[in-house]
Amino acid sequence: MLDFFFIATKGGLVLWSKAYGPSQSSPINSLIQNVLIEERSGTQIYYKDNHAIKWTFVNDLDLVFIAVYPKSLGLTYIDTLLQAASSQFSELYGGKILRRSQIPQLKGWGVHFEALLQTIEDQDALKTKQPRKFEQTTGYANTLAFAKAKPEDHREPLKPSLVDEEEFRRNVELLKKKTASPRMGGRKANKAKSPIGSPVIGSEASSLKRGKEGRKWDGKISAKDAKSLDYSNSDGNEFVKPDHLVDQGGMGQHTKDGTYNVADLEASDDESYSDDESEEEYTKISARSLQAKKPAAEGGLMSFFKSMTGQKEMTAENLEPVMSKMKEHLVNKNVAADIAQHLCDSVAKGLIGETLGNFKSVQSHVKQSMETALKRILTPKSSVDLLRDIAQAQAEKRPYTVVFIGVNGVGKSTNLSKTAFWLLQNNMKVLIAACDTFRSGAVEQLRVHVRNLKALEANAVVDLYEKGYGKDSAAIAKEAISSAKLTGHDVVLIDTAGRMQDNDPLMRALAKLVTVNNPDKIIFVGEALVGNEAVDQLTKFNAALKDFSGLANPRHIDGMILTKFDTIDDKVGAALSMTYTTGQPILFVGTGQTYTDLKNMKVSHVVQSLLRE
Amino acid sequence: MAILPSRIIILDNEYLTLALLFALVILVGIAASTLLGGKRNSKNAVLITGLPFAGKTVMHYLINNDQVVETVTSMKENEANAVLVEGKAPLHMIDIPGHERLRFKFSEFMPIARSIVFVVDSATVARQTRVLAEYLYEILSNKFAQEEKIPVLIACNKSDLLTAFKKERIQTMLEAEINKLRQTRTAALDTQDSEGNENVFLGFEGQDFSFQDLENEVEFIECSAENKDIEGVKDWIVAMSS
Repeated sequence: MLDFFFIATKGGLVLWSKAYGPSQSSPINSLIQNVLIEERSGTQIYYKDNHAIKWTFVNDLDLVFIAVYPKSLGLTYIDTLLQAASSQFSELYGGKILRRSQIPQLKGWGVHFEALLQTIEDQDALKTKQPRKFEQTTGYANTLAFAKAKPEDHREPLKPSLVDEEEFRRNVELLKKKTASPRMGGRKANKAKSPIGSPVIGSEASSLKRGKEGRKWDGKISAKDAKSLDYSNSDGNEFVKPDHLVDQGGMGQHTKDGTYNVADLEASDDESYSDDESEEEYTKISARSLQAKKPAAEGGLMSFFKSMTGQKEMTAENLEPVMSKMKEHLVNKNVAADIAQHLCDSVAKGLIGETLGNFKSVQSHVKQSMETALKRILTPKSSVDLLRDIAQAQAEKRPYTVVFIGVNGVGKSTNLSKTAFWLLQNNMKVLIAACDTFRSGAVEQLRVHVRNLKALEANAVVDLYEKGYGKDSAAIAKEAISSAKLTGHDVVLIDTAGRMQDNDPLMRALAKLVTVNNPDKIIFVGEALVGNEAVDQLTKFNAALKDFSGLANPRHIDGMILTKFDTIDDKVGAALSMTYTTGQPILFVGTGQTYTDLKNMKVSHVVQSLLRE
Repeated sequence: MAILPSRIIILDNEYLTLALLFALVILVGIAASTLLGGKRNSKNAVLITGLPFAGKTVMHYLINNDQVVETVTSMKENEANAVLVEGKAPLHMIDIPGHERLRFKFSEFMPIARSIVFVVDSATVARQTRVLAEYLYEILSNKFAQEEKIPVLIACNKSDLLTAFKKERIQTMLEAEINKLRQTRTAALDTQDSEGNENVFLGFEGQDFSFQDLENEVEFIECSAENKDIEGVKDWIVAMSS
């Protein structure tokens, strides 16, 4: 049974809702926050607690229809219901809703919906009742297939048996000789032999004629079973698998409630706009506000013009070519392929049904909504103000700990020292823990960095905590943190060994380091050069932190540093792939070789680079 | 010689059509510029914003339709024209979603903003001080807010709840938090391809932050959208728009 049906505007106004069970709107809010706003609506279904939620958009009216039902019931008619309800609703009340100044009154929709639900449920019941007859169950089909198959198999061997009974006898003799040895293989042969010995006509003869047939006979039943099982499985897989994949993509990487957009990025966005750019913005916005105003002021005239200019509605068909081009474009910008696909699906979903504005091409409209989508994804949803976090830790009189993780050779140590330099500029006392006990020269590298940093700033407090090679890195980090507490260091930066995401023992070691020390921030260092691999790296690192931790609330990557950003020109796709995969912000980008080449990422810059032809 | 006058006549005709075209272009230009320019100068937008679940959309509909509505998290901004005082030009009310990913939208509306209503959930303010202050800081340090001195009303919503904080308490909490933020924000790294430090310093240096120090007018008001108790907010909007 349906739990909850719900109609709202995209603006958040609930137009109509009906609860069939204990009502609560929390799954809906979390659906909106975690799926719809995050541009993950390419997925079909969302699971929250015990609920399964499905939804559909009516884009020309800016409406969203949401149906909630118990997870345990695989209701098949939900899609039909959503479709029918949304089309009927927009037919009945579309005009009213377009007049936005008022809250639309929905007279009679309740009755209407009940009737609709009833018919759809009845239809479904009809459909679902029939298969309950034994003749239509898969079990019956299997037994039938099995029953049919048996006589066939009997018949088959019969024919050849008529041809050469002599050869069969010879074969039996041979087999007997062969299986005389009491080895493992012998058993099989014995089994094969037993039917021969039995007086079931000379038919089995032929089975042995082919030598290997015996084995086939042996495994006949299980093979059949397996075969039929296989079929059902593969069938099921074809339908279920994509859903599962999609779901994981949509749900797996959600993180706890984020907190805010970084002021730095956004504010400076505006500030750094050149004059004519902000001029452009002016006109854009005034045009926009005009658009918003006009229908109210001179609706009649506007609609006349609309019909004159021939607005067209966007459909899946006319979006398809534009979307595939957009996807290709994104892939060319080094965005991971499946992420480009997801994103395009999600954007397309948000556009289908929308009517195109005057003198606008589908392409420009798609580009515009892609821009908003990209902006949404790249804008951090949790604080990236590291200094504020450190201040908090200082107030609590404990050192702030940051772990740098990543694959080999992406620049963990380099960017760790850049971060250290920045912290030193802000009068922090920094302790660097050399927990790369694996690669030779790692500790020496850090020692050089510490020496340089000390030389750069007259009274900088930066020290190295090292215990040489081959030791347990988790223990070293632990000691470093406790020593920082004693010596009064504000920040502990923990350098770890680079590891490939598939290297199980090393990933376990990393998870241990994180679990034992529970650092304040886990920063993933990734190359901007990486393409499809980015997704794999991040998901596997996250999975390792989760699976090997043994904690109820495992940690995950809290932020990323994108290195070698100066080498990629406008192929900035990795930034998108990474933020989309983890939902976490890019804290810094590395833009060069010196200590000062660590920057905050500018969202508008990345969005522009991504969309540039 | 006989041909020449006819040529002149043709030329005259051309001049006429040219002149007519020219006049038309100018007229269209004037119409467009007055429309656009009028919008730009009028700046009659009132932005309603704040954190998620603060009650922005409820307040938006309460102001526009005088009705308390049921809402969920907004995915899109709500816009409406509200006539708060009879006989005055309607105000362009914009309710901006509070979700972190959508917040960047507020900066798109800043150029046309007349005033900003920042809605705060008085009951959860203690838990959210930092997030709240960060968003408020973002708004106050916005280029347009600085240049145009856009007034900000901090509407302490849900004041009817038992756990609600008083507005004075909220003010001191926010001031203390912004004080800390000022330090960390000015020390943050530069953004890509930007020159120098672009951060704005709110208030006076060497002195604890206080809303009084700002050039923007910042006011605190207790209200409760649930109980239709938002007269103070309406009055403030009207006062700022006149």
